[in-house]
Amino acid sequence: MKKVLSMLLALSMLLCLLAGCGGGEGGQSGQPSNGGDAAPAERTEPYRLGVLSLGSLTTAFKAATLSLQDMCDAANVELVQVELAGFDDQGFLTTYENMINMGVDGVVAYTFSEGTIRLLADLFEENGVEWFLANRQISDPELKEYVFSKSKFVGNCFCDEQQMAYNVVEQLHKDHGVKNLAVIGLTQGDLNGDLRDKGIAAACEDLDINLLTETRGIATAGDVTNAVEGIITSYPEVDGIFIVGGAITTGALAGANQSLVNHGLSDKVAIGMIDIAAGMSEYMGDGNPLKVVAGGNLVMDYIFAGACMINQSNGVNADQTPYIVNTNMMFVYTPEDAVDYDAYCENTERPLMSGSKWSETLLGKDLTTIQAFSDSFSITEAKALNQ
Amino acid sequence: MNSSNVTARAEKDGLRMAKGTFKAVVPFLGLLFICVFFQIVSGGKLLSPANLKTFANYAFQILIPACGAVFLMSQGNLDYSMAGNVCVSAALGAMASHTSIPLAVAVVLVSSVVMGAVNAFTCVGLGVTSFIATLAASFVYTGLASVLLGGGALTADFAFKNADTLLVKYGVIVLVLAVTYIVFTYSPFGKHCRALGAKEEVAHQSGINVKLERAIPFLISGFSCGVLALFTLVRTCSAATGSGAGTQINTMLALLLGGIPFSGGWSSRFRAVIVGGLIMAVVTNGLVLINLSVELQQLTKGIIFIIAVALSFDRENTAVIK
Amino acid sequence: MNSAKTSTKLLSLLKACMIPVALYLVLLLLIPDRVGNLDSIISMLSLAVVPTIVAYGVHFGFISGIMDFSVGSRMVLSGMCAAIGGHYGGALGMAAAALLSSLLLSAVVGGLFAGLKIPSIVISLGSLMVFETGSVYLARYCGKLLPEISTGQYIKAPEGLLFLGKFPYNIIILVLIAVLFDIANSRTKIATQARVVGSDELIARNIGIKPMRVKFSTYVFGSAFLALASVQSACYSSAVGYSNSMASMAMVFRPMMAVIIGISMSALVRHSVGIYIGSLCLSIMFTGIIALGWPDSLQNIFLGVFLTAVLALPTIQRSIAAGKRRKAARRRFESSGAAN
Repeated sequence: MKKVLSMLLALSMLLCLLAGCGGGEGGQSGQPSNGGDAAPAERTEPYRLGVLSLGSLTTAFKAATLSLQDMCDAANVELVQVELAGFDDQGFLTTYENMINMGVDGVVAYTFSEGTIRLLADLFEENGVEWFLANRQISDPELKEYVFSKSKFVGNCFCDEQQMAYNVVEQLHKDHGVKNLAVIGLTQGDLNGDLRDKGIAAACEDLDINLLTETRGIATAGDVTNAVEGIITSYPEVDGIFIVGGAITTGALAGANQSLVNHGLSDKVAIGMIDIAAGMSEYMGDGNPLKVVAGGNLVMDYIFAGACMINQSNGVNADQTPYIVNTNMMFVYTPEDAVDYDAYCENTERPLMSGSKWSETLLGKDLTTIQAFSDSFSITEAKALNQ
Repeated sequence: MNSSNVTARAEKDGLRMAKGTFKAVVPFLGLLFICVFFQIVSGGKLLSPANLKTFANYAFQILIPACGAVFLMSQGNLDYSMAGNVCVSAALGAMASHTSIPLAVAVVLVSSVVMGAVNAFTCVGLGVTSFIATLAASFVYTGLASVLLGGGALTADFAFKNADTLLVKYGVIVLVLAVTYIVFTYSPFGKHCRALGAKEEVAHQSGINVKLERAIPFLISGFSCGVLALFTLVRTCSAATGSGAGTQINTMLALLLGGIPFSGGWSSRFRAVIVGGLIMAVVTNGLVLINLSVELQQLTKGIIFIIAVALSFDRENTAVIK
Repeated sequence: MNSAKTSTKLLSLLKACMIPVALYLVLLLLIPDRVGNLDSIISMLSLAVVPTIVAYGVHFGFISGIMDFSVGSRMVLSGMCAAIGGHYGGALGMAAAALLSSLLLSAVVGGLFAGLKIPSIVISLGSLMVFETGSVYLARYCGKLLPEISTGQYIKAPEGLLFLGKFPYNIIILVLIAVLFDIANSRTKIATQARVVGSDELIARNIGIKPMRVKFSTYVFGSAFLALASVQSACYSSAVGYSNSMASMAMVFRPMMAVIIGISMSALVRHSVGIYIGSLCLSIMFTGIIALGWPDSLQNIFLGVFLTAVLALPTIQRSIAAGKRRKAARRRFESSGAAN
C-alpha cells in the first residue's frame, strides 16, 4: 500500500514538474530589476512585463491577458503572467514580491483594497520596478498624493466607478420607474465596490429613491436566490435590484432571475448590474428583468495599462509620468448588445484585435491619442476593430 | 524449539522497531524530498536569498498558530475559531494603532487571549465539544470582525511596517518554537496535555486538574492567534474581513502532516509542528513559485495532503480513527 | 394508554415547534409589516428545504463520528451532473445523473477513508480540494462543448424542471424525503450500527461490528440524500456554478448545525422533524436579518450564539438540577440533624 501511495505522490510531483518546466521561467536567479532609470530604447533583452493571471476568477482577465499577449508579441515585450498567491491583501503582496523575484522590469498592478496600494508603491519603489495601477481609482487624496509622488509609478487607469453606479441607478429610475431599490453588493473593503456604493447612495439621494436593504458577501447562485427571495418577501414594494459585481458571483444573474420568476415578478422588478457577466443576453429583453448592465472597463483597463507600460519601456510619454487614463464605461441594454459584447469585447479565444492593429492604435502614441481611443471605445467600435 | 521461538520474537521485535523508525523518519524524509523537488522544479528559486523573505511569511503564518494548536490537539481538541480570532484581534489592533503602537500590541494580545478564554469557558465550563463550540465561536468572531471593520477594511499605522524584516520574523519564529518546544516536551503541563489526550479518567485519578489543564491550551491557542494578527498588521498595515482566513485549516493540516494523532495522546510529538509546518510552507511557496494555476495548486495540495498523511499516520497506536 | 402516548407525543412536538414559532413571533413584534404575510412565511419554510435535505445526508456520517467537509463540493459536482442529465434525459435523467455521480464521489471519499485509515477530516479536506478543481474544469469544458447549457462558469438547470424548486413542490418533496430519512434512520442496520460506532467504537468492535465498513456505508447511504439535495438546489437557483478556494466548505455548516439541533431535540421529536426545525430556525434568523435591514455580519453572530445556547442548554439544565438536588439533600440533612 505504501509503495502505491509513494508512486502516486511521485506522479503528482511529476505533474508539477512538467507544469513547472512548461511555465518557462527557469534559469532566473531572482534578481530584482533596476532597469527603470535606463533609457529603454537601448535594451538588449526584451522588456519583461509582469501581470496577474486571474483567468480563474473571471473571463474578463483571460480576455484581457489574451489581447495583452498579442500586444506584447507585436512590441517584442515578454509578458510574465504570475498566478495569484491568495485572494487577500497578503496574497496580492506575495504575488508581486514573486513577480519582482522573477526579474520583471515593469508591472501592471491590480488589487482589491486601497490598503495594499501604499505598500505596493513602497515595494516597487524599493526594488526599482516601474508599475501601472489598473482598474482601481484611488479615492483617498493623501494616498493619491503619496503614490503619485513615487518615481517608479507610471500611471493609473480606471473607469469612474462611482459615476458608473450613479448612471445605472439613474437609468433604472428614469427608464424603468424604479423607486424602491435593493442592493446585492460586494464585500466592503473592495475599492471599486466602495466607490459604487457611494454612487448608489448619491443617486438614491438625488433622485429620491428609497434604498431598502443591502446584502453582501454573496458567493453562489443559491445564495443570490436566497437573498433575492428574502428581499422580495420582506419588501414587497421593491421594484429594482442592483447587483454590484455580477462577474464575481458565478450564476448570480441566474439565481436572481429564478427567484423573480418563482414569484411572477420578472416584468415588475428591474435588475441593474455592474460587471458584465457571461450569458446575460437570455435575461434581457421583453419580459425579462435585466435592464441595464455597465462595465467592460476591466478588460480595457488592463489593456490600456499594458499599452502604457510598453510605451514606457520605449520611452514614450515617459516625461509625463505619472498620468491618468480614464476608461469609457460601456452599457449593455439589449440581448443583441450582450451577444456582441461576449463575442468581441470579452472573447477568451480571440484577442480584441491583431497585434499590428494594437501597434497602429496604442503603441508609440501620445496620451491624447490614447485617451481619444478610450473615449470612443464601445461595443460597436470593438466589433469594427475585430473585422 | 526455544531458540527458534526466541529468534522469531527477536525478528518480530526488530521488524516492529524498524516500522517505528520508518514512521518517525517518514515526515523528515518527506520534508527533504519536497524541498529538493521544489528547488529543482522552481529553477533554484525556492532556496534563493530573494525567496527567503517570502518563505518567512508562509512559515510564520503556519508555524505560529501550529505552536499554539499543538497543546490543544495533543488533548484531542480543536480550535476552529482561529481565523475569526485573528480577524477581530487585527481589527482592534488597527484601531488602537492610531493611538500608539505598544497599545495596539497589548490590545491585540489581550483580545486574542480573551477570545481563547471564551472558547475555554464554552468547551470546558459548558461541556460543549471543542469542534462545535469553536465552530460556533468562529461565526460569532467573524461577524464581530465584520461589525468592527464596518464590513470592509481598516488601515493601521504604517509604523508597523518597520517590523517587517527578516530578522524580526525569523527571530519570532525561532523564539516561539523554542519556548513552545520546551513547555510541550519538558514541562509538567505539556505532559499533562498528552495524558489528558490519552485517557482523561486516568489523568484525573492521578491528580491532574482536568478542567484547568483543558482550559489553558485554549488561551495559548488564542495567544498564538494574537501573534499572527500582529504579523498581519506588520505585513499589510491593515485589517480586513479576510484577514487570517484559512488559519485553522492550514494549522490542522500542518499538524496532521507532521504526524500528530487526531485524538491526541502520548504519541503527540512537537516535531509535528516543525515538520508539518515546514512541509505546508514549502508546498504552498513552491506551488506559487512554479506558477501553477490556482486550481491546479489546490488539486496538487489536496493529493499531497492525503498521501503524505497516509504515509506518516500512526495507525497502530491509534485505537479509534475518526 | 394509546391516547396518553399520542398526547405526550403531540405535546413534545409542540414544545419542539415553540423555538421557531418564538423566533417568528419576535420578528412579528419588531417588523409586523415585513414578515406578517403569507409570502414571508412560505419563503422561510422554503429556505429551510435544501439545508434540511443536506442535513439528512450528513446525519449518518455525523452520528458515526465522521467529520466531512467535502459535502459541499460533492453537491456542486453532482448538481452539475444533474443539470446536464436533466437537459438530455428529463427528470429521470436528472435524478439518475445526480444519484450516480453522488454515489461515485461518496464511494471515493468513503473508500479512501476506509482504505487508508486516516482521519476523516484529512480525507474530507483533501477530497474537497480535488472535487472543487473538478467542478471548475467541468464548468469550463461544458462551456466549450455544451454552450447552450453552460457559460463556462455555471451550468443551467433544465427549465422544465425548475418547478421542483418552487413552493409547494419543494415542501412536498421534502416531506417525502423526510419519510425516507425517517425509515432509513430508524429501521436500517446501517443507521443503528452507525449510532453504536459513534457512541463507542471499541465496544462496537467487540460486539462484532466492523467500524470502517459501517463508516464507509454511511458515506454511501448519505450520498442518496445529497443527490436529492443537489437536484433541489439546482432547481431552486436554476444554475449550478463551480466552487473554488474552499468556498464549498461553508455549505456544510448550516446543515451540520441543523443536525446538531435535531439530535439535541431527539428527546422531544424524531430526528427528521428536529433537523427541519433546526434548519427552519436558521432560515427565520436569516430572513429576519434581511427584513430588519441589519448588516448580514450580525447573521453570523446570531448563528453562533444560537448554536452555543442550544448545545450548552443540557449542561446548564444538568447544573441547575444538580444544584437543586444538593439543596434538597442539605435541607434533609439539616432537618434530620435538628430532629436528633
